[in-house]
Amino acid sequence: MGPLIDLLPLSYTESVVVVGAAVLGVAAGVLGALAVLPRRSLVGDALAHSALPGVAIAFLVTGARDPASLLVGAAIAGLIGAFMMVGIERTSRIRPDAAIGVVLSSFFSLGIVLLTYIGTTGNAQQAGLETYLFGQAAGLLERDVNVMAVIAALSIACVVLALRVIKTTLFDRSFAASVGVPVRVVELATTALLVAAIVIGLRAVGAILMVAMLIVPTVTARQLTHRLGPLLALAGVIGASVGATGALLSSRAEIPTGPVIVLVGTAVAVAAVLLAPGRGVVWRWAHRRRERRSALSSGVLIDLETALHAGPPPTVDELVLASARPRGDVRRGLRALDRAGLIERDDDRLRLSESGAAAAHAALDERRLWSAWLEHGWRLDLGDAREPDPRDLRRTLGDELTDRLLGFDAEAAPS
Amino acid sequence: MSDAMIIVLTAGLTATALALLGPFLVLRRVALMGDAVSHAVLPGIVAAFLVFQTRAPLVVILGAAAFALICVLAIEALRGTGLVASDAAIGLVFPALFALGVLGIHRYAANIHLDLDSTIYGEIAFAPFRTLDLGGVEVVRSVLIMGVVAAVNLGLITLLWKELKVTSFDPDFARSIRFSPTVVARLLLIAVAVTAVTAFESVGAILVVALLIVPAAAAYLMTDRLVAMVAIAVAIGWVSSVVGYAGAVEVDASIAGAMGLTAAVIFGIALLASPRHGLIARAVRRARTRRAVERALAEERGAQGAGA
Amino acid sequence: MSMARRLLPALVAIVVVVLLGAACASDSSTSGGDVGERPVRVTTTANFITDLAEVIGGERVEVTGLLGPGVDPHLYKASAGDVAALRDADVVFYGGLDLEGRMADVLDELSDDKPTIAVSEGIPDDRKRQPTEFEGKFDPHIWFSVPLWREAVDVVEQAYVELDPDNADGYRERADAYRAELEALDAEVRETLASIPDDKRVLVTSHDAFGYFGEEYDFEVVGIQGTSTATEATTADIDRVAGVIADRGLEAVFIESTVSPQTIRAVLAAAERRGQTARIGGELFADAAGERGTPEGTYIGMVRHNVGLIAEGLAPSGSR
Repeated sequence: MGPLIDLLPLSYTESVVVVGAAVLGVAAGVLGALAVLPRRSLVGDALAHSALPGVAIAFLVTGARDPASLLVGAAIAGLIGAFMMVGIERTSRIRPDAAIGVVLSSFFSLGIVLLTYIGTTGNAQQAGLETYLFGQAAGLLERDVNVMAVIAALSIACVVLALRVIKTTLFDRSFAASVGVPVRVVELATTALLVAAIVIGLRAVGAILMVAMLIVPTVTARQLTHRLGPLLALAGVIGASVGATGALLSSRAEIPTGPVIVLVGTAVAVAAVLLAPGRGVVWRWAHRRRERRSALSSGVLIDLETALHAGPPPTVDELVLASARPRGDVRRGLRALDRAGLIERDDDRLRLSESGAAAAHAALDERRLWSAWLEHGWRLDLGDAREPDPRDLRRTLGDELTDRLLGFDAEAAPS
Repeated sequence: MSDAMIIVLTAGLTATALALLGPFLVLRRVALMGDAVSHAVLPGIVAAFLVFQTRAPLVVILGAAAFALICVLAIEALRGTGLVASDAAIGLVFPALFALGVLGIHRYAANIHLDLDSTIYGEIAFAPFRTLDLGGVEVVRSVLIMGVVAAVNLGLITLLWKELKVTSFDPDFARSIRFSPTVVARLLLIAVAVTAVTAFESVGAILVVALLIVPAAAAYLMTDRLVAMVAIAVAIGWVSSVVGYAGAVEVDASIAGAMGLTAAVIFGIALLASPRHGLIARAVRRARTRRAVERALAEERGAQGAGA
Repeated sequence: MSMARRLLPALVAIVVVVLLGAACASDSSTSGGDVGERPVRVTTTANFITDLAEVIGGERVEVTGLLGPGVDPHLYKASAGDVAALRDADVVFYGGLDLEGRMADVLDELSDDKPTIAVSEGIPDDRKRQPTEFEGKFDPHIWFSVPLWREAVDVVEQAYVELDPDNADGYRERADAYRAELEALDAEVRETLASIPDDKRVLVTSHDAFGYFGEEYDFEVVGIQGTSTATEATTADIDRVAGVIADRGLEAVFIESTVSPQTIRAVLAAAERRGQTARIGGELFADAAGERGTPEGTYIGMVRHNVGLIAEGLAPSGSR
């Protein structure tokens, strides 16, 4: 990563942090998907807590606060913790979130007991054992960035080579086992890679940022695609962009890097949840509103057509009486029809324009078709029971079925 | 009453308050709500300190409770969109709130020691020393507070029992009989937030996180009935309090840690030896089935042999 | 409703338990009062306070330190035995000024039963450092200035004399001797540090615990982040500190026993890019003294260790 760091038009520290955050984003993004999709999102949080007994035991064994052995201790504890989570989940009815919670609280309790035990032994080296392991994003070292880059490359390679296998193990274990995929081995390998990334990430940037970086990219990507391959690629890209953007913003504003990246990431994920096309909350809301409006205006249109059929052009008040809708709804519907050029006003009397008359007939036809579907739809005997789209029966049923349906309706009509 | 009694009583009442709620969290797949709240209260503490310039417990608790509520309601809102799984929703919300707190400290309080350990996280060992003068009678604060919280929680789940039961197992059915699962879920989560914050103040974070999840998860392994699950969770909480305290005294270690560890051991025992869902019971059942199948096959072969 | 009736016994049980617990706050005999001939039972927090209490108390006291060597008072987790240590003590000495975090409330409540004394209480406000943002919130790390710590001797001496007047002479004698020792130590510190030229008197550490040291011995103290360990550094902090190292040509920076050395390493890497290679001059004891039985296990040993490292790291090579 050295050349890339030198290339950026930033101070050395800023470049290291920006590149580091981006690389971390790639690794956490890609590997995070393997945790988030099987509902083990909080594995990062659990491993951050389970590092404590690992560090304490490493200290008890070696008697010294040597960074390398503490890191190994944390990694081993993390591996044991992760396998226990998966084990509890696989062998019992406990679901992933509770399994993670049980491991988190057990390991952390053990860590505190060990720490207070060490405290009474009076070894001065114990100072800051628990904080020793957690870094912060602004303190990223070039060496850590390189290690993260290796992890990122490994995880991308692993995912590219074994996408199929990972997919079947993630979504259909029994099927995977039945077609001869070594499910256990795949799960073991991905879990180990995940643990390695998390433990190294904890030392490089701390717990909170690590937790967020594992989750944000996948949640965001999930709103944009539902296919695993594109999702993984997208998660990597999103992770990198969130990391780099957050790091740049924080150094411009001279505020702590880690929290800024977390907040940028959360904002991105929430924005995706709100705005994702076809899926997002705002999109769905706007869609529903559009639908409600169009239903209302076509209803008012039919009411007007019926009134015109029955007598002279009505005033708005007469139409309200005839249609039995709230006045506000009628007015809103009329406004929409006015805008679409479907009605004409003759003083305060309402008439249909030429296109309005056509639209009214179309709407009436559609309504008739709908009630025919409700009443006689079962007689069509749709083989695979695929429900047609209620808003556009003719297209989804096809002309032939539609004609049969209208035929049933005509037969049943008393006239 | 001795110090030991007070500590065990504090822990037991805290365990009761938490174990009354824990089973519902486990059933709803939001077991880690306690851990989320333990981080998410940081901005509340910073805000309270900035406004009132004090670390007085009441002010700190109010600030923390405000953000605990924001945390649980934001998680519920995200989950309610149906676009984010509950565990991912938890993992999105609490890091963001914690990050907000860190930025607040950096901006306004970088030169004083203001953190969770020195403000909201209490230490159960000190429970006997923290007393309150109520009309001339000296009462132990944590026992009083956690007792009140436990009683309120008991009242709450009694009143909402049917609703909680239905919405925990079958939200769609609940909706169809016009229980609003959202309102029930919100009430439950508000209770969790308030209980967690008051319990942090009395006994510290880790014991709260542990007692909210571990007894409930162990009880879930032991029974299929909700009433039994709640009762067993409370019982495990008390056993963990008593045994954990004794263990802590034995090795002179952290009391909260030892209690959490005891609960974990009980979970391990349940995982192995629960009569219905334990690993041993399952293995025995599987072996029995295999033997029965083998016997049936052998008999069939015997019958065929005789027939030939 | 049936559920309500079924849970009623449980509610009653909780109420009974609470009334039981609430009504009878601890009746465990708190000692205090007349100590007579038995040794004075003393409980202390940080281990340099333990050292002080033992030195002044001599044979007359039994001291229990709650925080072992290397335990940061901010991160202290109580163990089960600490309850009895607090309950049975005749007197409790602690650092004060929020050094002990939440425990301060407990010690405050305990003061109804027995003297609980902050060793920093004798220091007038104008000699205490306070951050600009918060009035009345003082920096607790007074022990890095030997003359300020000398004030703590008076506080402890006074407490012992009041508690055990029969042996007042012994306490006074030992306190006088220790004050003399501290004066000698102060002179020694100044002499050792004299080898460092004015432009190199810059102490770079990971967080801001050495303010009193800087004021007393004329050092500029540069911390990467403020006193709070809950916040994080910014890239600007790293660059700023690296700039100081490069501009002043510093050869050594220091890590503290209770903070992750990661940010210091980042600073060194950034300084190297600016053409100044500095090294980690060693680990300073920050919020706790060293192991019992070793020279660093006492207050005096801790100060000598820190000052020795600083002089070795910052003095020009020729003068060493």
